[in-house]
Amino acid sequence: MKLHVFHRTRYAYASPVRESFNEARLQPVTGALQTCEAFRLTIVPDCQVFHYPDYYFNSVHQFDLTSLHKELVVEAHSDVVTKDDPGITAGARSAPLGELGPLGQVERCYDFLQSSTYVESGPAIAALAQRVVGAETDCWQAAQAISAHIHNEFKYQPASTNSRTHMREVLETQTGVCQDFAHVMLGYCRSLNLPARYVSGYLYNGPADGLKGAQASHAWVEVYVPGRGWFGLDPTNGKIAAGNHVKVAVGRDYSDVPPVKGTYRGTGRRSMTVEVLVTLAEQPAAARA
Amino acid sequence: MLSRVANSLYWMSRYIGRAENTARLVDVNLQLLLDMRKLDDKALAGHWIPILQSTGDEDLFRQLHEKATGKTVTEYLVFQPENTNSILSSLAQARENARMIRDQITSELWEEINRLYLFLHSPQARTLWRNSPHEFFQEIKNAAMLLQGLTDGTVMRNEGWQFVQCGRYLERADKTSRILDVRHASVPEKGLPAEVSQADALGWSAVLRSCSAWDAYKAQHGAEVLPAHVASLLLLNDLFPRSVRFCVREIDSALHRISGVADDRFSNDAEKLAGRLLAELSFSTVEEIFEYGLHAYVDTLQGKLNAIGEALFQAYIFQPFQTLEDDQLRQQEEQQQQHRLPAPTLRHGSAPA
Repeated sequence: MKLHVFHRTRYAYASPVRESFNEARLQPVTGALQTCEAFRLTIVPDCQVFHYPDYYFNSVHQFDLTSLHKELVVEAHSDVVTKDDPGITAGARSAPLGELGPLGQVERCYDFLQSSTYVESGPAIAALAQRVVGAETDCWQAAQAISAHIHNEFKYQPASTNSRTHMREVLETQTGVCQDFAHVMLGYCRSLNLPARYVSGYLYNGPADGLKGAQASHAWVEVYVPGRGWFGLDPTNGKIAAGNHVKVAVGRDYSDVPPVKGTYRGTGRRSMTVEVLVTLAEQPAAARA
Repeated sequence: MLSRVANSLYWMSRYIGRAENTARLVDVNLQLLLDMRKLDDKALAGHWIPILQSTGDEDLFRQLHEKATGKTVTEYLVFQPENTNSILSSLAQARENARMIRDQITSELWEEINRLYLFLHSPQARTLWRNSPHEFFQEIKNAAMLLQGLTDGTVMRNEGWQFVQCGRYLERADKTSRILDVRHASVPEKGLPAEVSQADALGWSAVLRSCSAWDAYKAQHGAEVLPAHVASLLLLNDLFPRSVRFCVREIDSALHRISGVADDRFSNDAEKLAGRLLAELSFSTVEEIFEYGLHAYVDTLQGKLNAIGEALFQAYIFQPFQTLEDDQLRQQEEQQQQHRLPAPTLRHGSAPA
């Protein structure tokens, strides 16, 4: 699937601000399942942009604006080719849940088994997760059960939470958006000793119809299946992350990978508008045939 | 450089200039009394009141003293601590400013300021003043000139130096205009005086000597003292180092050296106002000034000089207090990842949201 992603973030300040230092994690990943063919980042006011990979090898663009400005626009255009993951099927059996113990000693898994800014992992959450998983002993099946449970039991309601809502609040209200569902799933998986990480990205959901202008960035989860690697599960939609998912960055939770984050000096009276548009650049070959 | 340091250099320089000019003014006018025919209270008051007016402190004087006599006026202008512009107060403030920036000036300069300050507070100063006022004022003038010479001869020509120059020449331009204004009552409100009496001529020559301009005047215009020529020398002369035009040119170039902006451009209000005033003084004639009225002209001029000082303060020294609101370090607002649910057909499972 060849997709074009447009993502514009506009910050407007009530009075001029200065010393603005920012990081953008907007460039889609290039890997086995996805190729980012083109990426263009535009900052207004114009400034020099530096680029580096962060600790989790996400592509980070860093820029700073020291002089006074009343508006900041960060605009990213990406062309991405994606494909469905053939690595594992929904019904596949993997490793038993009970044998995941030593994973905590694996460097790349350690971070994704701990509590983090918005995610809690511990005995209390483990009890909840155990009820969801029930008698299932296979870790890939257990992860899918958690994803399906969240999809079925939690209510998707825009504006019911904000970007800094902790998963504990989401568990209380059983309501949230994809960011919150991903956090809940991370908590459940980690409590069962199953490494899980947060994925920031976009979702293509058909031609822009009634949802025009209502799109935003998307979030889901990747779980580590021993011996096979990381596989994406989307608890918001209750299915395996596929070719319509564009992966941008991974982290322990949202706080590691906000699309744009930064600091500045100046007024607190500001507003932010975000526009995201994912369009199909080319029909997949299979669909055309 | 720190604004605080610039401010202290500027005011140190201004107060030294103020003390010097007040000494000049009082000295010359004390001498002038020797030439007066009759010395009753009225004549004395008529002599001293314009001088008090020129320093701008007449109201305070009337609160402190009943009569304007040589004794009370000189006491007021030289030693009175209540008068913030008296020589004593000026030097105290020059010293206080110098003390705050001792690491920025030279020890020679500091020691001389301190010596002069201690001298003024000593009983010897009082004795000298009583016995020989002229020598007393000579002492102060010489010390002030020595201070300026020490500044010229020992201080680094860095940014701070430019602030010293600004302070020195703003004060000098202001005081020259005030000294010129002392005699404004002897000329008509508008236009040139028809004839100049002998007493007036003496008065105008006192103005020249107050500004150390007597020799420059003789070289330029000969021995006959005419108000138009005096005003021309003190306001518009290009070469006389105490004329207002000369001082404004020095201010203008010091301001441009601070900002690094080319001479015919400006980057702040101080440069704009100084450049404008310089152009005005460069392209004016003394006839136009008298046509406008000497006193009115000097009044406007002082307003413009004050505006330059104020603009300099705003541009370099005054740092507005940042409200907490405007200076606070803040997090950029974060966008929630909340892709709206895809159309039902694309959803896996059946439960609607």
